[in-house]
Amino acid sequence: MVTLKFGPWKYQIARGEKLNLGTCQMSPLVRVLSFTRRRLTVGQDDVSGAGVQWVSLMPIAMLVEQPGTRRLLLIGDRTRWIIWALGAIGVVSCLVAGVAGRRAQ
Amino acid sequence: MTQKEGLMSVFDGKEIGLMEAVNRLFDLFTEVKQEATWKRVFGDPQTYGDTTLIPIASVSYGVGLGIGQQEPTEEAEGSQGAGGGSGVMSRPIAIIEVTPTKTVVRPVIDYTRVIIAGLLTLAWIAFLWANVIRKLVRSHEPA
Repeated sequence: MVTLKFGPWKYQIARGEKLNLGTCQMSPLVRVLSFTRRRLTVGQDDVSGAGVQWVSLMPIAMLVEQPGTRRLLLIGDRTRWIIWALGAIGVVSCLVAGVAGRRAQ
Repeated sequence: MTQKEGLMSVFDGKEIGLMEAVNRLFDLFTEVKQEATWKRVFGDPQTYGDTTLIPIASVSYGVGLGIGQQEPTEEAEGSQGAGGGSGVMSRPIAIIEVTPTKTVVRPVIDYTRVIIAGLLTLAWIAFLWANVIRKLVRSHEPA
């Protein structure tokens, strides 16, 4: 659906096949982030190669179609959100304590 | 890409050029990437009575390899070496619950990670503010 490329990085939003659950139909949306790099070096008497590939798949949403209704269910990684929020609190606290420490001197 | 004479390797039981071996291994990476479909993230629906549950996870994986070969010369013997590694990580994120009347997302929270992160944040804040309080106390002390 959506593909963005930046050097070895690739960002994709892909839509999966429709799931038929009888009472409703669902279409999943997934974010795919990948990093691919391969390198071959040919010298006078030697040859060498190296390659790295990393792929991260994260569900984004599920499009639910029920008779008469159609809605998008967002899927969030709550654990990551909480950890990021705690990290943000740590950074803000660091800045505030820095300012307070300078004023105290 | 030219094939260097004498630089041979064994891949799938066949003797082939090292360059070709490297290229084949790199092609395997691409195949792995193409298999990265939504099916890895959304599990198979499980039905219990009227309720259907779909498990959802975040998945990440990586592979890396290095390979090298040197032809023998008059001064030194030829050598070759290769190494590689891979890793997979999967974490549950949520469960979709489908009933005849409603469809809801039930988030899955990893409390162990959250508690550890919370304790580390608290320790960090306590350390920072202890320094500030110490400076405040020192600044109010008579010289």
